[in-house]
Amino acid sequence: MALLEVENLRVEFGSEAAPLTAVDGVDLALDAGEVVGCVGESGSGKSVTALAMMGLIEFPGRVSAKRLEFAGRDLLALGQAERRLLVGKDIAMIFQDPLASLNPCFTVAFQLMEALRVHGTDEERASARKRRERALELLRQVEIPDPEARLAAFPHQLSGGMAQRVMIAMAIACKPQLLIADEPTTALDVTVQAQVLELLLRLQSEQGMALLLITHDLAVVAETARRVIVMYAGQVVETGPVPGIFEAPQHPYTQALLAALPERNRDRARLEAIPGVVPGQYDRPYGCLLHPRCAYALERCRAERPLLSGPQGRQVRCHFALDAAGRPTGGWRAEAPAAIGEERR
Amino acid sequence: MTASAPLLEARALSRHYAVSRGMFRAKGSVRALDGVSFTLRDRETLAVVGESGCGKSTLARAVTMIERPTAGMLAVGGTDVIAADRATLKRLRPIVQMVFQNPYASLNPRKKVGTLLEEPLAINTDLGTTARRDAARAMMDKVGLRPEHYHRYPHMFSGGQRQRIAVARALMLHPRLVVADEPLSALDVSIQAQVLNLLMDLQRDLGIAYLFISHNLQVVRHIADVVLVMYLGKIVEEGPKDAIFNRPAHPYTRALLASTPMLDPRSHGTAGDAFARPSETGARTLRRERIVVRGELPSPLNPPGGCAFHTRCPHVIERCRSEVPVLEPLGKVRVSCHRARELN
Repeated sequence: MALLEVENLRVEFGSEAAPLTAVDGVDLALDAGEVVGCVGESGSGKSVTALAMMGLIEFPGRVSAKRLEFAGRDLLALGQAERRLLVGKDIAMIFQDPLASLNPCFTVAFQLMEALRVHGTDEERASARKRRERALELLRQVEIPDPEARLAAFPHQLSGGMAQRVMIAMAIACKPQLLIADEPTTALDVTVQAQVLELLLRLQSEQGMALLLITHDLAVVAETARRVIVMYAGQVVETGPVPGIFEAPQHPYTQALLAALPERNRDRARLEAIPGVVPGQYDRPYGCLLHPRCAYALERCRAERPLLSGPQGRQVRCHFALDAAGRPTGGWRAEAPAAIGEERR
Repeated sequence: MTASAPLLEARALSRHYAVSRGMFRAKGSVRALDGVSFTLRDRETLAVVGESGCGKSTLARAVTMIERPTAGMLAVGGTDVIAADRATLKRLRPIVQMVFQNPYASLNPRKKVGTLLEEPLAINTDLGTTARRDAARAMMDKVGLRPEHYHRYPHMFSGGQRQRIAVARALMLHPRLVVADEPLSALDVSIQAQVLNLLMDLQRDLGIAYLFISHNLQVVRHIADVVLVMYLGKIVEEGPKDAIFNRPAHPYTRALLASTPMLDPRSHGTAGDAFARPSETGARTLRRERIVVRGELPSPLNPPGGCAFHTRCPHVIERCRSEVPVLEPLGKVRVSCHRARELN
C-alpha cells in the first residue's frame, strides 16, 4: 500500500460561481522511502497541491478530494485536532525562503524545541533538557558547524544556507515518514544548493522517509528524483521515471520545457521558446489546457479535454502522446497553422 | 571618444565600502570590488558569474556610473569615468543602460508603457512629443510588444512581457552597452527562453554589447563570449566561454560547474576529472557526487588572508593561506591560483 494516496484533489479559491481552480483533479501516489520530483512553471499548482496535503489551505480556499489518505488514514475524515497531531510530525514540509519561514523573534533553539514540545516523544515533551539535547543532535545531523553556538542564534544571524539547514532540522525533528520540500534550494547559491540537496537525500535514505521535491528546475529533479510528476495549470500532464521521461517525453509540454533549456540547445543560436503563458483565472481554455501554447494542437485538442492515461507509472494527458522520437501519435495530422499563429507573441 | 578604444575598459577597479562596527571600534571596510581588470569590445557579451556577495552587482553599479569606484581606472569608449565631471557623465550615461533583475519591481506601476519608454528620451534628448512617441512605438515593435500595449500599465503584463518592456526602455537611448543584472532569474523556464532569444536578436540587429550578470551557468554558456568568474570581489578566472566551460582552470570555477544541476549528468565529464568521483551507492546511481566545496562564502567584512578561496578549496596548500595569488595568463584564460599550473 502506498504511503500517500491522493485521488482527484481539487483546490479552488474565490467565489463559488467563478472559482479560480488552482488544483484541478490531481492524482498522486507516493511509496514509503521514495523520492519523487514535481515540476512545472509558476501557477501550475505545485505548491497548492502540497499545502492541500498538509491541510494548510485557509478558509476562502476549498479543498475536495475523492481520496486523501496518508499511511492508511483518511485525512479528510480527521478533525482539526487529530490532523494537527499528524501534520508536522509524520508529514513535514520545508519552504522556499528559509529566512521568511523562521520566526525572526525567537532563537534557533526555541523554534527547534517548539516542534519537539508539540510533537516529540513523551520524554521530550516532559523535559526541557531532553529537548535541548535533541535540538543539538539535530543541528549536528544537518551538518551545521559549531552547533552549540548556533542554538542561541536568531534567524537574521544565519546565512540562507544555514537557515535552510535549520528548517530541515525542524522538519526531521519528529522523524517524518513524508517530507515535502517546496523549492528548497531556489533562494540559495549554486554551491550551497548542491550541499542542501545532498543533505536532503542523505537524510532521506538514512531515515527511509519519502521525499516530495517540488521545483521548477528540471535539472534538479533529473539529479535527485526517481520519478517525476509534471504539472501544468493545476493538472498532472505526465508522470514517469527519471531519466526516461527526460529522454523521451510523451507530453508536448514536457518536450517543450526541455527544449527551452539552454542545456539542450548547446549548438543553436536560438532557444525553442514556448509562446504565451500559463492560463490564469479568466483565460482557462476549453479542451486541453495546453492547446493555445502547444505546437501540435488540433481541432480535437480545442474541443475535448484529454484524460491522464497509460500504464501505471508512465501516464500522459494528451490525445496525441509523443512517441520515442518525439512525434505525435494517435492519427495526428498537421493542420493549417493559422489557428496557433495568433498566440505567438 | 576615440574610435579604437574598447567600449569598456577597467584597470584595477575597486569599490570599498566603509562599515560601522559600533561606536568604539574602527570602521571596517568591505572590499566589494577589489582590483578588477577587464576589457569589453563592441558587440561582445561579457558574462559575470559568481555567488551572492562576490561583487557582481557592485560591478554593475560602477559600470553604469551609478556609483563612483574608489580606486582604479574605468573608461567607457575611451573616456575616464572616475575623474569625469558631471557634464561628461551626463554625456556618457546614455551609452550604458541597464536591465534589472525583477521586472515586477523595476517598472513604475503608475506609468503606462508609453510613458515608461519615453521617459529616457524626455530626460536625455530634446525630441518633441511626436518624435518620442514614434521612437517608443518603433522600439515596442522591435522587442515584440503590440502597438495597443502603448496605453497599458505594467500590472497588465506577464513577467516575460514586463522584461520586454524593461529591455525596450534600456534601448531607447541607443546604448552601446546594456548591463543586464540577472535579467532572467525572476522568470520561468519557458519565458526565460523567450527573453534570451530577444536579447540575442537585439544584439545581432543593433550591435549592442552586454555585460551579463548571472548565477545561472547554463544561460551564461548560451549567451556569453567571454566569462568572468568572481569570488569575494576579485576575478578568479577570466577567458573565452569555450575555454572556461571545457577546461576550467580555477578550483572555484570547477566547483561552480560541478554544482550546477544538469539534465544529462554525463555532460559533467567536462567539469574537470580531478573532481569526478564515482557515486557511493548503487541505490543512487542516477546522481553523481555533487559536493565539491564545503561551507559557504566567508564574510566580506572579514575575508580570509592569502587566497580568498582557500577556506573552501579542496587543493589548498600552505602557500594559499599566506600569499595572495595574482591573475596570470594560462593558455587561453587568465587565472588567479597558485596551483593552476600543476593542477591543469
